[in-house]
Amino acid sequence: MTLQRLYNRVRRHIWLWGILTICALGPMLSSCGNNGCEETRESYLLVQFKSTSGLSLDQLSTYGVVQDDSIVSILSSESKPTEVEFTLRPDTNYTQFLLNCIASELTDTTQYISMLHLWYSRQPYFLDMECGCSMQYMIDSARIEAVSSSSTDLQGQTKKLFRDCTIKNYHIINEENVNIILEY
Amino acid sequence: MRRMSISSWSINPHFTHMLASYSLLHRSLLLLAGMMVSVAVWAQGSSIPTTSAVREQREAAVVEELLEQLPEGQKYRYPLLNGLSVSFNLFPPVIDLLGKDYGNYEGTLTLDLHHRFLPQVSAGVGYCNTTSDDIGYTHTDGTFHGMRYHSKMRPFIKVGMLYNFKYNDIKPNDFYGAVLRFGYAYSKADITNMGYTDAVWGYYGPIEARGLEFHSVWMEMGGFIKVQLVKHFSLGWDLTFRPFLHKGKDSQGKPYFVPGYGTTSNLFGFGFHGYFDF
Repeated sequence: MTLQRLYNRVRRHIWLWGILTICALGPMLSSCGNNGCEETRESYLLVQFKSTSGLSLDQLSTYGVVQDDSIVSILSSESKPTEVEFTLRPDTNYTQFLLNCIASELTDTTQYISMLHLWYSRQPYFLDMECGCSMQYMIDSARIEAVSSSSTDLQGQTKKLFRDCTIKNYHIINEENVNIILEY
Repeated sequence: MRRMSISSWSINPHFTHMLASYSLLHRSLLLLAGMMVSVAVWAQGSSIPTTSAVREQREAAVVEELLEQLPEGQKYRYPLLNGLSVSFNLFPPVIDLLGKDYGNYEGTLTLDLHHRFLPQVSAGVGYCNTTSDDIGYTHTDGTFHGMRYHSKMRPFIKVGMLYNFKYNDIKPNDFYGAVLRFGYAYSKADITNMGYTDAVWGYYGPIEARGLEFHSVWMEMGGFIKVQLVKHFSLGWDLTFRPFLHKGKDSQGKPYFVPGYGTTSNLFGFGFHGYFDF
């Protein structure tokens, strides 16, 4: 008798139970598959170039440098750049980049090689089980120094292209914010 | 006449390989879906009603309609304090049996006001201990260690209300309605065996993030049904959409699992409840 009653109750609402089952199984089944990572893992240091003199930055090639001063690879090469993006070394708190620039003033063209030094702290940031983690950085300090140039100044010194290095945004996360401004 | 040999009826080996590669969860869900379809077909298989049966049904409908009418000036058929029920969500333990590596255990106290408004408080605990098969840290000797997300058993609480559309129905044992709940959970997680690969600088690992703390608040809205099976015992299902009002954030990452909610990527919630009615 009880079984008959139970059957009648289930049967009375079978269409609703069915709809709910389909609604429930749909999302469950769709969540079973690995949809892959859809988030950006890289955090880029964005460097902006700002001209405060009559110089024009015609060409820029950037290189990553490892601790023993050997060059890793060319990172970018572009003409008339206004911004450039770098990724920092995730295994240490210091990264240096070599900037090979060709700048001109009227008819005078000079090649400048500069080194950008960055000190920072880093922290992994867990995204999810499909993506793993990204790295976030906090800049402690930054410095730019002239390494060489194709011509010298009146005192016979290496000519400097970049006059100032300013940190605008200390946090390097997955956002396109300018972190450093290099004035030339 | 061409005779078909037994071997020509054998199952394609590619198909058997495909079946074997299905996880236990896939197979169990397919089995569950199959059972549901079978029950639906079985239940719909009644005979065509006779003329007398149709007449009886019409008479019963007229009687029911008369009974459903309330006396003038009476808004509710049932009293303000119409009952109390204690329920348990039976779905997570079932999912646990299918090999899920996280779980929530939840009990709910529901008050019945006029058989229309059913305020409720739920409390429970949830845990997660999952390891990724794809993402992780590769040791220099080539051994792979899957990334592990470990969240100890932590409590959660939900407060909300059920609204019964059939509140003046002469049969008070079945409910159809809407659900609105708010949940809060505190969780703490450790994530180990993470690896990070940079396009320029190469691979770095293993990385750990420990002691991530999250305070999460979410909302659940959807529909429910509750059907009495025997006296003082009912079963109910609910399906809810669950947007986060505050997911919780730590300087080291985002939550993957929230107690009382489940994995944060799944915006739909499903409950299968056993009710003890008083």
